[in-house]
Amino acid sequence: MDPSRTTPIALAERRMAWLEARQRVLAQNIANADTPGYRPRDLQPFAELLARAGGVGLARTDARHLAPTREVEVKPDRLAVERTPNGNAVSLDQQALKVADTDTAHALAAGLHRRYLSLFRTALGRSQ
Amino acid sequence: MDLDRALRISAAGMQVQSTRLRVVAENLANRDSTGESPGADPYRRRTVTFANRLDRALGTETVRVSRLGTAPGDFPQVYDPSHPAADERGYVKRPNVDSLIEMMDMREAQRSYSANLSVLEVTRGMLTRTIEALR
Repeated sequence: MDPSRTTPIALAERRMAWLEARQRVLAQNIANADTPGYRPRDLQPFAELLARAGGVGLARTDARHLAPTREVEVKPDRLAVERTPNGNAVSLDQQALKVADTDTAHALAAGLHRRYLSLFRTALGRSQ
Repeated sequence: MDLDRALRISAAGMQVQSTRLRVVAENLANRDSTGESPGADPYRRRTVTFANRLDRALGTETVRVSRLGTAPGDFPQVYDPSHPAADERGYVKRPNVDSLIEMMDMREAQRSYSANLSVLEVTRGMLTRTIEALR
């Protein structure tokens, strides 16, 4: 087991990176709320991403081997079913909900990161 | 960085909505712009279309104004023989601007603008929290 992948700090970092990527996708959806034919997108869920990363992957037996891509997949949002006559399927309230969700989750991850780092600071005998 | 890109995407969204608002203002201002010579065409309503385009400098897709066109359709005619643009039958062509449609367009532009602004604010909050981790 790779310890750097499972410590709370690394987990919070990955969660934050995923949330930042998601925020970008949501910003794109909202910016395109009036673009004809545009379909909203979303990221692959974080839990799925974690499961995939922790599961079976290509082994790197040589330093020159390419690292497996950890890119998050951007997929079309399958829940968006309603369309306007010009083919746009972005629902602003649905996207706003996701943005709020992302914001809360980011606050949580950032808080976790901060708390965990402060444990180290305490152990080192420094005041916060 | 993703948050930086999200900020720029939201800014691009606000920019296209202001272009749309500009077009609405243009249409409404020209609601009574008829031709000057007899039988001349009046102001034709303008339209704006958006598209999701790849921004190479930014490395992501953002929204852009794809086309500024004109609305097809016949001009409504009004009987006014004393008007300088009246044809031989005394009819004047009026612009094909419907103020109700323009008002609706304006509201929608305003709504989309504030949606982009809210995303921008949330993104800034996330960015601030990330920077706080440095302290």
